[in-house]
Order: sequence, then structure tokens, then C-alpha cells
Amino acid sequence: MDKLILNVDHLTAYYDDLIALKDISITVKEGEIVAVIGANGSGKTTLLRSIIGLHTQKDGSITFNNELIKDLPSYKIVSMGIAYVMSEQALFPELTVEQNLRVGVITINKKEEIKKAFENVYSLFPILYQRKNQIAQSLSGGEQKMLAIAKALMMNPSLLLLDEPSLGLAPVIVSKVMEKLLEINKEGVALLLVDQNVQQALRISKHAYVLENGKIVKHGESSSLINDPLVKKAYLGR
Amino acid sequence: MEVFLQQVLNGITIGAVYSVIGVGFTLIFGIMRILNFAYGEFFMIATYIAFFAYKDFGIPLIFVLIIAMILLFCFGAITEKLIILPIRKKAKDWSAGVIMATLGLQVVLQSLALILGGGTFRGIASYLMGSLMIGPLIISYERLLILTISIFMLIATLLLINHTKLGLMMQAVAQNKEAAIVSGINPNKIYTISFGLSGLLVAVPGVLLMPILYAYPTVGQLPIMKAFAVTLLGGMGNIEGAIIGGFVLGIAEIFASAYISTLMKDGIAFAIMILVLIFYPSGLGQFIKRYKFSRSKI
Amino acid sequence: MRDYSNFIIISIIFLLSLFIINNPYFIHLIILSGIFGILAIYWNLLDGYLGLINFGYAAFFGVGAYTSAILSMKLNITLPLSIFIGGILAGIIGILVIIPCLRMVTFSTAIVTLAFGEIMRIIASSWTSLTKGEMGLWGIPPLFEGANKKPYGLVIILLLLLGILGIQIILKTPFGLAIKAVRDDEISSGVLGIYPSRIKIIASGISCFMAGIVGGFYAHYILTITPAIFGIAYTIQIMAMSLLGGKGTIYGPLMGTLVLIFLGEGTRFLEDYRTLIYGAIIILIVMLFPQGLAGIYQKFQNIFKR
Repeated sequence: MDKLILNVDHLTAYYDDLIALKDISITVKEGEIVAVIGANGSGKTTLLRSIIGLHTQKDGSITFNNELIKDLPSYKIVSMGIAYVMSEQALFPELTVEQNLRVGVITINKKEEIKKAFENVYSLFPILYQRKNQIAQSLSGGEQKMLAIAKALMMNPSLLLLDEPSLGLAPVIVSKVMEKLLEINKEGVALLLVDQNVQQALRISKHAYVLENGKIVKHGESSSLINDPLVKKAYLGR
Repeated sequence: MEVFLQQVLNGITIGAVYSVIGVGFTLIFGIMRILNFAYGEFFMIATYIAFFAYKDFGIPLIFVLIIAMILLFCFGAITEKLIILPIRKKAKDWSAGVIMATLGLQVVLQSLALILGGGTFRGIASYLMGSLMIGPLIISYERLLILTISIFMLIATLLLINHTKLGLMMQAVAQNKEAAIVSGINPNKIYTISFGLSGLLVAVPGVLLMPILYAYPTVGQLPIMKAFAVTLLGGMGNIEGAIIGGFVLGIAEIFASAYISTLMKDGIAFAIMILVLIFYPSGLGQFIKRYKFSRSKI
Repeated sequence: MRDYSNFIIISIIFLLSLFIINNPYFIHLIILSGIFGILAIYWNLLDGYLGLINFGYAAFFGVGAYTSAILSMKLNITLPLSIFIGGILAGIIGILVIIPCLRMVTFSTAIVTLAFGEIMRIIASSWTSLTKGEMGLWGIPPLFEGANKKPYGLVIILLLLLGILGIQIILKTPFGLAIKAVRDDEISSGVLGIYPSRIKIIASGISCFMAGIVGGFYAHYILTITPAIFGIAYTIQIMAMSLLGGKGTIYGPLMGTLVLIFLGEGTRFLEDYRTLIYGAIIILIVMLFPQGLAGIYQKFQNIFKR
């Protein structure tokens, strides 16, 4: 279980003249949960978008299962086994729940695989099965989040990138989502999540990185970071 | 009463043609947020293909139709790859650039047709004789064929969009491009195919209206004006809206020319269009519950 | 004063060339440059500064031309006055056309203005009692008696210079600042107490008024007009000049006009291909140099500055 799957090496990302990420190195091992925490505007979303290929102004190297993916288009990267859950607007608003999920398996041609993916996702999120003919737009915030995660899972990824899974959700729902994430992880899917909800992120992750103004200022075991005075002061408000 | 029904029947026939023209035009707007001002010239190319294939080579009509559809699909796809794609790559907001480039393409194609083919009208008197009587109503076989094939194309388009994998991908790209990309869809491919489909659709009236609209460099002006009207009536990018808009326009035109004046026929399209736009700026399509190609935020 | 150095240079060049050149054909080209220069600059006021696409621009030119011609022929209204009335009418119609467009997106505006041009063309060719239909109007009274074209040249160049100065001054006034604010961010400009719709209506009125004035001048210079002047071909020509020069600049469209008119005349043997070339220029400029000649000039300047 110690094989390295994602290796981000000396990544620098720009927006024209603006540097958004500077010299970032992050690794994710097979089946591991890694969190990146940081304030708003610290570059967390840019990091995920750079990995998945939606952000193209970047230097450095990104490899996935030892294959260089830095300059590949996103639609190819996702077919290699990385899925990305955007923080908002991750769904197709006018499609039904089932159609949204179907888009997740659009690249798969085998009928049995599609059927299996549906069974798997519906057993994980029974609520989505109940709502399968409803339009995505009409779901509640928490259900939409579940659908976004489920849609990503349909692609049977070995690594799931999650952008702010707790954004805009009520605390009760947040812990529900986190439980689901742990459940997904138990099935062997590695997670890389960025979140402002530092407490929850550190609670479920094994390793964590602290991102500040586009730079990594600290990293280590999540259990030790949660007690780190700097992290406590800046993010946990204690 | 019989006259009235006859008018309705005529209106439906013309409306079906307008719907096909409108759907082809609105389709790419829905998916790409692009207006193709060279759309009328796609129609013009189809009329030339139809004339030469049918008159000079004597190919049967059904094959002429298929050939024109295939050629126009390719022409649309090539236009997208050669002209639209570079503009899309260059600018984030490509809408104005594409509008201007396609308007440029419109005059380029028109002058090419004039240079190559001269200013003669090329057409045939009819390809199907006789008419069908249903009680007191009369419909010529030619019109019946136009009506049938147009409605077939409309149904086929709806089926494609709602019940196929390609259609699902088109809806996905239209509604949320980035989410579609991270689901493994290559949007450029969808764009190219959509542009091709738009050409394919407009090829159908281009061929079938051979006895009415002769091949001529500026023959595309009329269909693109109808496409504008239908699109604005139905709501930009709304397929079902365009279908309804096409029939509304066709019937309104027939009644205007029957009961008001023949000269008013072309004016009525714009009058309706402007009236609808004043009261419902987003078109009649807003009365349709679900909007296949909408980008409302979630 | 430095802001106006370009203006002074251009004034001197135009006026000097008018005095030096005696060849009537070249004077004709200068006059055409003046006409299309104004049209390109004022089309660009809408597209380049406000993002309002007016595909029916030639129709306003046509409204001015037909109005002034008809007024002077049928009602014997004295010349400069009839041209002015034509301009006013074009400006009013410009405002009436833009009002329904304000609630629409760019796309609908493009369609509505294009359709408007087409409607005007249809009216001009079917209202035969007034416009003589497709035959067009001829025997329009000339602005100046005699064969000498220089007075026409002087008038249109003064009009052009006035037009340029007008835009330069407009852009410096609060109204001009409002135009820029609307262009940069339409939604937040509303917060500053600017009404984007009001700005667009006024700018549209000004732009179409100028097209009408120039149209009137054109009618009394060329002396025959046909419904074709409402059509898309003229709008295309104006757009090509404006885009080639560079949108959102004052002198760019003028440069574009000069290049296309003098280069166009240098390639007269390509007469049949002219529309084709204009169309191709638009496509290529949009595809390759969205900033036009002005953008290329800017790049050169930057190189020398370094």
C-alpha cells in the first residue's frame, strides 16, 4: 500500500504575470488521504486545477503512476484514473441525477462495467437512487455534493481530487459527507482534498500540507499538525 | 372552414421547414454560444449541390439528399476546425469575434459563388408531380414529401439529443463545459460535430426546396432571416423552442399573406419577432419546462 | 497638447494633400477615405468602445442618403439642411433600434440590427413611388456646381477632422469616462451611478447621426443611389476597415480605411474579388490579429522603447 501514485514536483503556476503557486511538491500514496489546508486565495483550487489539467500556465512536473501528465489535456488525464470534484458548479443542472451519473461513465463502453458503477454508487448513496429521475438543480445542497462525488466515482478512479467538499454545507451534512469520504477511501481510493474546514480535513486525513500565499509552509502527519501551535492559531482559532 | 384548414395545412408545411432551419441554427448556439452568420450560405451550397447532382448528374432525389447532408456535415465541421477553433483558442470571450468572422465568411462564400457560378438562377420546376386529396384539403406530393422529411429530421434530432450518448455529451458540454471535460469529454470534438450537424440539417431544406428557392449566390439571405426569427422566437439555443417557433412563424406567415397582403409575408416574421422580443426578451422557449442547453448556475 | 499631436499631424497631411494634388481621381480617393473614415470611426465607437455590434450600420448611412436626396428633390429643401435632417432621422432611428436591443444579449443585438438593415433595403426597393425601387434615385442635386471636386474634398475632410476631434473630446468628458466604465464592467458601472442603457442610447444616436450625415453627403456627391447602399456589403466594408485598423482606438479605423481604399485602388484589376477580399480580411484579422494595425503598431512602439 505504499506505492506512490501522484507526484507533484516543484510545481509553479501562473495567471499571466501573477504567480499563484510557487515551487509546490506534494505526493499521494496509494489508498491514502492527503489534505491541503489553507485560507481563501492561498492557491488550493489552482493546485487541483493544475493537477487535473484545467489550469495550463504551469512549470514543474506532475506524474501519475509514473506517467507524466503535466501537459496532457484534462479529458485524457481523467481517463487515467484521476477524478475531480469541483467545489461548485460540478453538475449538469438540467440533467437528471441518473443522466449526470451517466456522463460520469461516458468514456466507458462495457455494459457490465457501467452497471457495476451504478450499483456501487447507488449502494453508497441510497438517496441518489431515490432521486434518480429528479433534475440535479432541484436537489438540496448536500444532495448535490453527494451527486458530484458520486459522478466522479462513476469513473472508477484510483485518486479522487476534492475541492472544498464542505463548502456551503451545514455542519451536520459536513460530517455526513466526511463519513462517505472515509467509506470511499476504505475501498482503496486515494483522496487529495483541499478544504477550509481544517478540523474536519485533518481529522480524516493521514498527511497534510499547509498552503499559504501559494507556498507550502508546513507538512507532516495530520495528527501532529492538529496540535501544531501555528496551525492551531491560524486555522483552528485556538 | 375548408379554406381555413387548408391554410393551416400550408402553414404547417412551411413551419416544418422553418423549424428544421431554425433548429440547425439554434443548435450550435445552444452548445457553443456561437451565431453562425454564414448559415444561409450553408443553405446556398446545398442548393448548388442539389441542382448539379439532380439536374446534371441525374442522381435520384433521395441520394441527392444524402450526398448533400454528408457534404454539408463535412463543410460545417471543416469551418469549425479552420475558422472557429483558432478564434476560440485566441480569446476567452469569443462570441463577438466569431460573429464577425462568420459574417466575413458569408460574403466570402457569396462572392465565390458569384465568381464561380455567375449570377444565373439554377433550379428545376418540380421533382414530384400530382397532389393528394384528403377530403376537401389538397396537398401536393412535393409538399407532402417536404413535410414528412422535415418532421422526420426534427424527430431524429430530438432523439439524438435526448436518447443517445452523443446527445448526452452535447448537453453536458452545453450546460457545464468544465464538468464535461473532467468527465472525459473532449469539447472540441463535440463542437466540431455540432457544427457539422448544423450543416447537415440545413442541407435538407436546401435540397427539398429546389423548385422554390433556386440556387443563386444570395439565396441564403431568406433562410438565415427565418433562422434568426425562429431562434429569437424560441429562445436562443432552445431546440424545442425553435421547433415551436418555426411552426408559429410558418402559420402566421400563411395567414398574413392570405388575409392581409402577400407583401406583408416577409414583414410579418419580423413584426412577430420584434413583438415577442419586446414582451419576452428570452423568447417563447421559457414556457418549456426544461431547457436542454441552458447554463443556469447550480 | 500632446494628446492632440496625432490630430494635428493628420489634419496637416489631409489638408496639404488636398491642396497639392490636382488629379481628380486621387481627390476622389481622398473623398472616399473621408466618407469611410468617418463611418469606420463611428462604427467603432459602438463596437470598440461599448461592445455593441451594429450589423445594420450601412442602413443608417442609407437613411441619410435617401432622406436628403428625397427632401431636396421632392420638397426642394436647401442642401445642407436636408443633409442635416437626414442625419437627425438616422440618429432617431438608431436610438429606436437600440432600445429593444438593450434588454438583449450581444447575439440578439447582432441579429436585430442585421434584420433592420435588411428591412430597410426591402422598403427602399419596394416603396417605388418614393424611392423608384431597384432603379434607384438619380439626378440628385449636387452639393457644389461644377466639375471641381476639391470643395467636396474640403467639406468631407473638415467633417472627418471634426468627427475625430468630437470623439476625442467626447472620450474626455464625463460621458466618455462613463463609456469606458460601461465597457470595462457593465454591471459595476451601474453602482457608480452610471446607467449603461442611457450611455448606449446616446452613443448609438451619435454614431447613427454621423452615418446619416455622411450618407447625405455621399448622395449629393455621387448623385445616384440604389437600395444596395442599405445592404450588408457596405457594412462589411466599414467593418473590415474598422477591424483592420484596430477596435477601440480612434486612429486605427482611419488607418484601416486608408489602407483598404488606396490598396484597393492599387488592385483595381481585382474588382470582382473586392467583396471576397473584404470578407477574407475580416476573417483573417479576427483569427490572427484581433488588435488590428493599431496592435501591430503598439508592438513596434514597445520594441523601440526597450
